[in-house]
Amino acid sequence: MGNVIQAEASKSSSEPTELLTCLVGEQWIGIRVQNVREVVTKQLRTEMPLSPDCVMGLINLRGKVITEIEVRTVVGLPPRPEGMALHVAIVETCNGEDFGLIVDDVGEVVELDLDNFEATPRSLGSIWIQVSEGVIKQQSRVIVVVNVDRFISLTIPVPIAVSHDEDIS
Amino acid sequence: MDEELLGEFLTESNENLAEIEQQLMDLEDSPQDAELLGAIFRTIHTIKGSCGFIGLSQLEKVAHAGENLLSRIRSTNFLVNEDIVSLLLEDADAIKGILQHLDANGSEPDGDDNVALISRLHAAERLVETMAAGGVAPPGNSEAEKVSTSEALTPDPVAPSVSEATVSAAVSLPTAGGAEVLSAWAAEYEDEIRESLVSAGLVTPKQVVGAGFATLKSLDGFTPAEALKLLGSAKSAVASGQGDVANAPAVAAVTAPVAPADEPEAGGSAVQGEVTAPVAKAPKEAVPTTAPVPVKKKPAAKAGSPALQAKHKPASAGSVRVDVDLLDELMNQVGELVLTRNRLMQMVNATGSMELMRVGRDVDQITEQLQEKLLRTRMQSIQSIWSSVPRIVRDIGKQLDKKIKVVMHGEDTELDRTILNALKDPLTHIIRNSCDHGIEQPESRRAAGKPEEGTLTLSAKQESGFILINIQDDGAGIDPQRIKTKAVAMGVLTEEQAGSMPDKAALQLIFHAGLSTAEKVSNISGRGVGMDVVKTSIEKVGGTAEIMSEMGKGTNLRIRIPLTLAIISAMIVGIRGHRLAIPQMSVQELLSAPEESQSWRLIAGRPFFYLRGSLLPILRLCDTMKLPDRRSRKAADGEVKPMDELRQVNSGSIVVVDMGDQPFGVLVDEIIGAEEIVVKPLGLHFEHLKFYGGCSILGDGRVVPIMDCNGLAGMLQKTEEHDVSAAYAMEKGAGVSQESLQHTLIYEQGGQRYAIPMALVERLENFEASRIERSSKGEVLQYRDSVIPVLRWGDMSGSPSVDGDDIYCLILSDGHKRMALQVEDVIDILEIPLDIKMMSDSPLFLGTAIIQDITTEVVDVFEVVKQVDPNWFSRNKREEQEVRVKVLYAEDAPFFRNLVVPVLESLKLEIWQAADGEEAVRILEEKTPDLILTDIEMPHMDGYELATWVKEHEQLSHIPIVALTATPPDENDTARRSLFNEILLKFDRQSIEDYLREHLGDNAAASSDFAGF
Repeated sequence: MGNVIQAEASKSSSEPTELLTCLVGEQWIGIRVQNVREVVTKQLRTEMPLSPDCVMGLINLRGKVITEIEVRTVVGLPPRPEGMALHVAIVETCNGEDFGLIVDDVGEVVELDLDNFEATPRSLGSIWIQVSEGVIKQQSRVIVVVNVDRFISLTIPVPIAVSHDEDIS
Repeated sequence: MDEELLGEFLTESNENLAEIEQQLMDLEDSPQDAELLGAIFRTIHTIKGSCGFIGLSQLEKVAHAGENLLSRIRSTNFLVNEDIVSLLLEDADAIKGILQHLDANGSEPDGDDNVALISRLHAAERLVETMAAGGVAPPGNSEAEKVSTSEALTPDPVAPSVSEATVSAAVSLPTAGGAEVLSAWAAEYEDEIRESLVSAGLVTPKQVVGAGFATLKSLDGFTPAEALKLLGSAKSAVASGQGDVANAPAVAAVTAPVAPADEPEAGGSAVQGEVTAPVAKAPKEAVPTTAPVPVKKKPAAKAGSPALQAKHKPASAGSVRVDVDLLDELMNQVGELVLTRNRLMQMVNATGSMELMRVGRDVDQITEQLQEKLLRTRMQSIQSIWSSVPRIVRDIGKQLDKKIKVVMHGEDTELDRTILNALKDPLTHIIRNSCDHGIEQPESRRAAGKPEEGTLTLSAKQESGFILINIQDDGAGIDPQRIKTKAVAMGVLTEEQAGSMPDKAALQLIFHAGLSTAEKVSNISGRGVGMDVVKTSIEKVGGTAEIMSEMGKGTNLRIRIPLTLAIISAMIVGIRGHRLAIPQMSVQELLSAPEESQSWRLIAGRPFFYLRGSLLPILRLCDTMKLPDRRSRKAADGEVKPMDELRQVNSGSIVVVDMGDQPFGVLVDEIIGAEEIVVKPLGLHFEHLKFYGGCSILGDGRVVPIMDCNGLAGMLQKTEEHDVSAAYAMEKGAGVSQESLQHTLIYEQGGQRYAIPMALVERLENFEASRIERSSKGEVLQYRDSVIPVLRWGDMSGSPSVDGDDIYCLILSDGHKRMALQVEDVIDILEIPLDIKMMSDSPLFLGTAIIQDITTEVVDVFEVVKQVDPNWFSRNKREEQEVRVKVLYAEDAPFFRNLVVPVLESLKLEIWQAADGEEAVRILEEKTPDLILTDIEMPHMDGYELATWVKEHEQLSHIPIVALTATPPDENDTARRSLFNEILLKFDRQSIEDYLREHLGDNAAASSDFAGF
């Protein structure tokens, strides 16, 4: 994967890495701007019965059908209270499919500052450890740098083998 | 290599080669068609010629060898036979192969695999030459003489083609003067010579031949050698049909003074006379001047090229090649446009502004046209996949010694290219099947009073947004009975199901994986894979396949597919506030099914809808999709009986879906309407949900999931399996719900309903009450030469019936013993799953079931029988404690297990059941039975393998193995038969009993029991 950020790798690259900060519950996360297509507000959503819990449904973004994923559910936070404001970050993954990540709020774009970029602390929850590439420590907050591809693949259900194949062959 | 040049060469060669297969096959049918032969020759010749130009040495060799053979055929007027055609087809294949390689890699393939082919072509060339020279081949001098003497010449096949050639030659050379005619066949000669020939009035090869050596020699500027050479060329030109060119009417005027006698007044016959006369005269001179073969190549090629160019020019001038990806992309965009248009129209109509609406209408129309035209650009005629069919059929025909002709209708029917691509392989498979299994050998056909040559008819037509493709053969047809037998043997069907299954439905089983009715497995088809793949691939592009067949008349396979995949018509349905789209393609009909409808049936807790005499299984979408039901919530103030719950929510509309096997109904809340939708793929999160086929955006901008009806059918089966009671759930792999169906007799006594499995009921009798007599042992009935005890259900159940004059009796039988059970009234015999809801305290009953919504007590027949005769099943209680004979019974089909196990039980055997050979082996590794009873056809490890395994193990090899099968090995297959001590037919209960009694009876403790039967 080409977009794994590592401290040394970023040091050598001339392009500064920029991250879009989003708030999920109490936690700030950072998504590389290269992955973010746009941020939209709440869209008309079609629920898809039997889909994974974190999949809130499908939205129509100018003719493009996008799967919406509730980040709160993925990271194990309680469900979004009814009527709570949300933002949807439309992100692109390496397989080309776009997803909508539902977050509570969207903050500013920050530059990945190597001076305060640290490896993911072990103390973070297991899900965070799976998706995090490291953390940025600022005065008042800690931003978890989220790898979008890893995050999405975490939400995709592993197909359960249907015990149907014992049928007469 | 110049890439542009190569590209052009490839395009042109492929275009030319596209027809060569058909041409060669036509030539096989009419070998005397000189024009056709010429066209084939020219194609190969052109390729060969171009090869040298671009430096493709391999291709040149292959093409050259073919060209030489063709030219020899032409020069000797050899009538090609099928072997030669096969060889030429091979040559064409080799050329195509190299061209493909060139296209893909830009260079010729490494190595030279065509050496053998080339040498065979050379050999054929020599053969043709010898045969022609030896006068063996039909078109020799003798033939010519015959023609010239008898002008009637009706049997001569040459006549019509010659006149045809004449006509076309006249068309291609409308103003042909002497010089042109001459240059057509004698181009390699110097101008002087040609001029002097023209001035002498000798322009056609025939005239030259007719003039003879002496005349030619005397002409200006002719040396004897030249005269001889010219005569040779002229003769070969005459022989190859070139001579006819000169007989075009326009030329006839020029030649008239020289050959007045031959003035073409009477068309073909006159021409014929002219052709043959000189040839008949010439043979002596012909021998020393064997025509140099290459001589007429050039003229031939030249004569051919204008015609070819004329054919291809208009096409290339008015068309451009477009990248398919670009087209697909364009298609997507137009799809978006259609959706946006839908939204726009809704908004515009909402404004009510006339002006806006007018503009909106324009946008609407333009979009529609754009969509339609773009769809057309993706269309290709079905010819593109049919063109290979004649070749396939020919090759199979040759291989199997069958005569098959292909007839095609509607080759120009157009289909979306994606669909065409998906159809290609299934089509080939179907055709192979038809040729292999469908069409009989010529002898059988003759015997059946059919023409020896079988006909395979392909037809395609468009019908209301669908393409119907018919593949029909006039072969032996498919025997539904044989399919059923096979299906039963394979455990796909139970025997009962097979019995009640209509033939048409049985035929569809051919699409079931693992069923192939061919008795012989050939390398063409019959491996039992394929037809299921055919069906799946057709379904993948939203199509359906159906097979119809009439014994002795033939088989017809009907494929119905949508014109295009990108935009489909769908039924939008609503359920619990969700909207779903169901493709119209699979929707058969819509039914209104209010809760109070009398057609609802609840069988074993599963809903069915009674529709035109059969029960339609209903998929409750709200359940399968786990959608909360508000109505049932309201009622759910505790434990709700499933029964009540179902009753409450079974209302709404039913979408009847037919995917070919068995129609089923999808219960939804409402039908919203039909809409044209653009199919969009779903994301990664839905890949595991097979019932979603994609999604689309509706006019209001909302996304709607599209259901996949195959997936829904899968859901139906799954829910059924889950619902099936514990007893049936044991039978894993049963798959189909019918597996658990059984015939059940329903009778009534004192207002209560009772159900009794038909298994033990031999007959249902209705007779006068006075026939029941009293004896010392109780009531008896004279029945079929014996006296049987009578048991009155009224007495047993405690509600005695008021007897009328007539009474009903169920005759219960266990093969040897009978008794009569008198009941008040018989209601019905149903084929239903006996799903016992509540166990009973009374020993007389197995429990309570819900049958046709009515609580019914299920009678335990064995207990009932014991009331009369406690020793009916076991004479002696003591024996149950004794050592029992142990039988290992391997059988994969639950149906047969259910059938055979009671028989074994009645013989008081200890039964170890195994679902296949592997399981049997596992049991054998632990314990040793006295007998092994095994099915032959089983998954994982079949009966043969099992028997072989047993024989290989010394400590087990003494155990007798009995095959219990529907498909016994061949009488002559001693190797396989010897694996078993006995081979018994599955359905023959008597022989199973007899065998077991005979072989286990004497050493089994239960032997006295057997004697009692």
